[in-house]
Amino acid sequence: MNRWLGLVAAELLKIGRRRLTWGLLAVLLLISIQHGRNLRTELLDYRQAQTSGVGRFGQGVSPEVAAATEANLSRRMSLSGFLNELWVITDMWGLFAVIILACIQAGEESDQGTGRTLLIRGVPRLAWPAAKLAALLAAAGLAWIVLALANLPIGLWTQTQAIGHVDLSVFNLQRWTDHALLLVRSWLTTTPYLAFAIAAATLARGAGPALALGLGARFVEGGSIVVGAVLIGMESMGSSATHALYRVWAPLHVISFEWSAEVIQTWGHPSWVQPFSPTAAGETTLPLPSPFFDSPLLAILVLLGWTGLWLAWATSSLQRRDVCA
Amino acid sequence: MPEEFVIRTWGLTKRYGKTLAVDGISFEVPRGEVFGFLGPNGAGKTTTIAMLLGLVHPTSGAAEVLGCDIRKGLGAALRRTGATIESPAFYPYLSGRDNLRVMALTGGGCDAGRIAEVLERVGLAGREGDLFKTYSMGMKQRLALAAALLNDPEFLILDEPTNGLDPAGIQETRTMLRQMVDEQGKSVFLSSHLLHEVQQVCDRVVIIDHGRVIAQGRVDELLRQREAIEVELRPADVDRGEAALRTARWVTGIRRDGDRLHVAAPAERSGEVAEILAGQQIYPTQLVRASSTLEDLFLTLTGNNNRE
Repeated sequence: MNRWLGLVAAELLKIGRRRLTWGLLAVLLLISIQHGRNLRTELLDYRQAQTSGVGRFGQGVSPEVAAATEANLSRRMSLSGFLNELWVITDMWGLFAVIILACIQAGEESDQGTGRTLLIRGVPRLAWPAAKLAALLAAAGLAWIVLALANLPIGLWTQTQAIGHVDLSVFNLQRWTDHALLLVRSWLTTTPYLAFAIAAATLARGAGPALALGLGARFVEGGSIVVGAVLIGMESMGSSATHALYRVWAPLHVISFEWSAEVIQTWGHPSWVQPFSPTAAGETTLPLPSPFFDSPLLAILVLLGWTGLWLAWATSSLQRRDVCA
Repeated sequence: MPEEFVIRTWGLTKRYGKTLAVDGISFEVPRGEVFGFLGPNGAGKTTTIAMLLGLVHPTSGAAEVLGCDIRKGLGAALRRTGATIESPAFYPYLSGRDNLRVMALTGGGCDAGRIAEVLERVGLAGREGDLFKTYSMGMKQRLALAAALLNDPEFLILDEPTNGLDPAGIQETRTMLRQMVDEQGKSVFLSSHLLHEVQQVCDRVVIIDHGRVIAQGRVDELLRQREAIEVELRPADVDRGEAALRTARWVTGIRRDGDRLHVAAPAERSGEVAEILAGQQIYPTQLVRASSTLEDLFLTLTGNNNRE
């Protein structure tokens, strides 16, 4: 076997034998199941209120609100709608899971001292971080497929709760293709996060500091997107007070992984910069010049650039470093 | 054509800030021998081995392992070498067998038969399915040795391989190393604190202290140079006796052990030792030729330093 492929296979063997891997996967599955149960509870709540007239959707609710609620629930509990919604959740928590796994997988070489055991066997320092990235990416891909497949029975169950029977008619070839593409794009956008986690573990020489850095950076980035959403919302409502802040913040956010990942996943139409409420018929909107880019090609280049930077940093640090004694 | 020397170093130096861990050591390890690498704690043994294995970058000097310059990359040499360094480090959540599978894969893979063979050879057969974290220190050492043997290397660099092994394990290791050299023509570079073991298994040794080489050569030759005479005196005579013997130019060193003086001198000088003492009205209660051991040599050369 080629030595580099052997390195990747060794990393995959370790990932597969690690209890944490299966624990994280189980947590992600539980989150999906719980989300399905939450939707069912919401549906039952709605139905009970409709019958008894008591509750959030009961007496005093205008027919328009009741109709909108029903339409919303029907959409969310349809198979396709539910799978989309579930995937957003899986993707969000899945990213945390792969960051945790990557930090521990890369950090253990320093924590356990196994790094020196590998290096004295002639494992090249140059290939090591890249092999870890390839193995983690392969593991994330497998996990993404498992989660997508597991979401299907959960979605079918939710749909059955809503309409009383299984209806696969909405799920045509186009939808399958869309979901498959979403899966692949979502998987590929984990790459810079994995590279960052490996770099953090290599530079910090341990899993603990890498976890703090990796998860901390993700939280900061997540927080940053909330700021962006709020600012854009305020700006679209005509607030000039936030205009300057928006202009300063936006370019900073564009260099984050998050924005590029969004552009790739939605292929140029990030959902959260769309209007929050539907535009009424006949209402005109003023097109605002956006400092964001929405080119998938540019987004791919940005993510590749980040990935390359983190890998180069980790490799160069490993290359220069004394490993023991 | 194989290299004449498996290791050659020229003024190899490693400095950590103000601390000089290895101070310009030079030695050569001939092919087809067991070569002992000795020194007290903190002498710079592990740092030297780490440099030879490419883990630590030297501050200055040069070294070759199997003809490869350690500064230019040891990849090719390390693939022909099996090594252990410091305490055994493996993945705690993997079994002994899976740890070896990981090691084998990083080298491009090997068949399950070879893994079973090395496990058998180091005495881990039957426990290979247990998790590494459940292993005793001795079992961990055995696994490290198995990993070193996995690619059937022509050269072994072993850093304290018998640490934590029981007496039977130490003897098995010693026999195995000798067999590998004598029957398979392999070479072994062995760092150890067990001087009795080193004396039994090594053809040559290099002794370092404070990062410098203080003695090197064939074990039998070094021991011959270090013949000694052991003199037991009455407690009141020990100081005077030592002072008197130090005046003899053929006495190269004296080590005190209670009422005993360990006089480093050729064995045939026993009569002259008795004469010198008698001249001072000192009459030994015992005077014998001491068979010199590597331990005596080591303690004499390193001044019995214990820097732990």
